[in-house]
Amino acid sequence: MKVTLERILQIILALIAVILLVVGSDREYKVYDNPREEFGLRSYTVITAFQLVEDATFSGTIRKGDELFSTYNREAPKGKMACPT
Amino acid sequence: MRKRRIVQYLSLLLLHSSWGPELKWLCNPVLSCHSCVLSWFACPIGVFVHFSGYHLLPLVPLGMVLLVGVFLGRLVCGWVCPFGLLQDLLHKIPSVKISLPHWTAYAKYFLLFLLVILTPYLWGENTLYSFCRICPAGTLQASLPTVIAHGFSTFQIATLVRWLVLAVILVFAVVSARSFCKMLCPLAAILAPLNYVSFWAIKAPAETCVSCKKCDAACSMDIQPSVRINRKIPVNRDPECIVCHECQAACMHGEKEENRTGSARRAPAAAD
Repeated sequence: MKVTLERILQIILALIAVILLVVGSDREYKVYDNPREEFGLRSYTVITAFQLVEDATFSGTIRKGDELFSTYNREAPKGKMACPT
Repeated sequence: MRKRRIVQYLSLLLLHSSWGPELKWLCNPVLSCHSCVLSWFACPIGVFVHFSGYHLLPLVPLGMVLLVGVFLGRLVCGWVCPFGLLQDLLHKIPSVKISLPHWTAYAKYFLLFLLVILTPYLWGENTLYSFCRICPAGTLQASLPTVIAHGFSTFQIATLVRWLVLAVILVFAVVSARSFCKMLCPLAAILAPLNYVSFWAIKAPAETCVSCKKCDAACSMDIQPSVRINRKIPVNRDPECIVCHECQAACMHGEKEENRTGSARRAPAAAD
């Protein structure tokens, strides 16, 4: 009985993990290129959750107010980036 | 157990062998700083700190850690984590050895909440009060090499604090086995409860157990595997177990010794 309950819990948690991965992978985030407006225009890039994870490893994205901003040129070759923290 | 040590060294090499390419969209489930120039993967704790700062739920990183935790529990702490390997090696240095009180294990849950979730959420991902700022793995893999490469011009008070924290943790590792994993590791705080339900289970040899307590003596985490063997539940069903299998190895060794003694005792009887 206990083993069955344990197996059910294992399967539920594994499913939660898969759901988190699937739902998370589907998410997209709007990251503004520059904190300042230029001629009233604000350019932004839409990035995936995986790109945001990658950005988090070197503070490539920062939060200001309620918005996310890019700290680097996404079109230039990135190379090795170190986290400032 | 030599096999575990080999896996630990191999993990250390494989996790830190990036000559250029990176897979930093993927979180490895061990404490290994992604700021290390040789690291392939992202540190989940560093990513959680940043996502807290972004005020976003880290669905993908959480899913990765949960998936590994559900299948393996804290097996990665015992077999893969490079900082765990360092602590294992430091504990071999002859010195006074102490056991930490069990209540100290709760500190890591508090630390996870405070320095990985709350402070970055309140003061942003680059706050001085996040776990990354005092992470001993980060100090070893990123802060120390930076100072060595660029000289003391990069040295700040914050760097001194990091180094002091690292020094204290390393000294504690010498006197108390895996003290950082027990008390302070926030990743251990996430993986620890998953030990109760992980698919990976160390089978308890309840039928053949002679209560010799060799497993208790072999356990570096002081969690008394014999208690769970007597209750006929998997030995790793304890949040502090790092699934190192040392208890199992000690038990098998014990059985061999028992058999040897038994045959030695039987031999004169056969001669009679």
